[in-house]
Amino acid sequence: MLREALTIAAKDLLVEVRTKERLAALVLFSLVVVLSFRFSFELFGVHDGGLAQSHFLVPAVLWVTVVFSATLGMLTVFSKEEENRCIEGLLLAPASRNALYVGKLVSSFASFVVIALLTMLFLGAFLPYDYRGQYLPVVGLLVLGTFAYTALGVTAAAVSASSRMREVLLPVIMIPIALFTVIVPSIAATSDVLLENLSGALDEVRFVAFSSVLFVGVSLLVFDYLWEA
Amino acid sequence: MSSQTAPADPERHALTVLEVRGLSKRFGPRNALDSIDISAGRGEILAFLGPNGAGKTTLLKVVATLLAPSSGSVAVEGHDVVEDAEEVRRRIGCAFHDVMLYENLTVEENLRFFGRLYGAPPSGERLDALLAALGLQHRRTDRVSTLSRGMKQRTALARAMLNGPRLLLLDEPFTGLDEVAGEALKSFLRDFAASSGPVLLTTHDPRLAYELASRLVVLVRGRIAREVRPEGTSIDGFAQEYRRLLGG
Repeated sequence: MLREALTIAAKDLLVEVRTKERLAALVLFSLVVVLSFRFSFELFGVHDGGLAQSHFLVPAVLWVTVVFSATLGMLTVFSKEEENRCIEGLLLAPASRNALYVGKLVSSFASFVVIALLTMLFLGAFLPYDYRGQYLPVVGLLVLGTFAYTALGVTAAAVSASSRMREVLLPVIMIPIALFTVIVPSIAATSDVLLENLSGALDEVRFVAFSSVLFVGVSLLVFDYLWEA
Repeated sequence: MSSQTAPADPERHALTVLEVRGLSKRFGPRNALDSIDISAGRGEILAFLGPNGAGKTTLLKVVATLLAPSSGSVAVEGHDVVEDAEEVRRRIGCAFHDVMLYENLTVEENLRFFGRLYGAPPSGERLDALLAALGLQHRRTDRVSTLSRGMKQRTALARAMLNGPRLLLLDEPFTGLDEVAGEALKSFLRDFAASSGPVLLTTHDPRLAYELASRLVVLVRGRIAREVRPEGTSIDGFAQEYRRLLGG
């Protein structure tokens, strides 16, 4: 199963590198959202040293931007396979369909983690914000939170793939589930890291890690059945 | 991950590759396939004809494990399409109307990708032979997006052959092929049927079916309306009967 999964992930990344369609669109989207926040803060005079410097607000802005970008990216995870019905070519592989889940998880995570790190960079540059020097812990949290969100998102994308309303259905499925299992704990952990409350951050990290394991486990249990027609 | 199910009667299954019994497939209230019984063995080419919506593609997709039957059974070399789907997929090659190829990858990249995915990564020699057999050598490094419909169709057939299938399922394989490519494909399919296993194909062309197939199966509204062998009828007789079955 792992061999097939890695084959799918490698193919996705090759297509992504070659076309740069998804990555370019998501980078642009992330930049636009960050700039929107930046000018909104300035409008109300809360830019320099004010609200925008809040160690509570910055994590929220960071995670909301990452979640919106990743949700947008999720829309293409299976819809791109609809071209020439390539999805049927994948489903014809003599392997468990979990290979498809793991392959899509790996390739999507690789793309979204790049977006998350660029979002962090954009916020740092345009807000501007120095993350109080806690760059590595924030990067670690972004990697973990993005993985958890992607683990849920790939299954949600598969559920909504055949729907004509998938653009609406996908965030409606994903965000309520992720809100208290990934998004809020990740915001809290990032805020704790910025305030150097490491024990508080660790509790949230454990919770997000548990959510990741849960999402991967449940997905592997149900993914085969999602493709039965 | 796959489970091995031994055929109940190995000698019989050596001859009968595909066995379909009482197969029905419903989409909501509509019966796409209704009580289909059919079998196929090595050396046979079965051509399924019928109007749009007759159930031809649905039948191929059920055999390919892409659709689950509503009732009845389908087995490939004794492996059930529901209980033992991975073993069935290991034994079949499929080329449907949609070519299942990535437009941004080259012909060779597509074939290498699907070969690895199907557990049969093609060696350089095997890839050369496959591309030569289907007249694709000169386009191997071209992206699929630059190919004509006929070339894409041939690449799809090469993809279907990667895992050395025992049963070939082809949905309108002659669409977009010129006369020379069409003749080459007929010869390729005859060779496959004689050496490897049966071919199931769909077509709207009764004359092509008559010329190529060893059995002609007309589907109308999900049922087998007529099943004949070409030697039991004339080409004009069959074409006339086919038009009558279609209500023309």
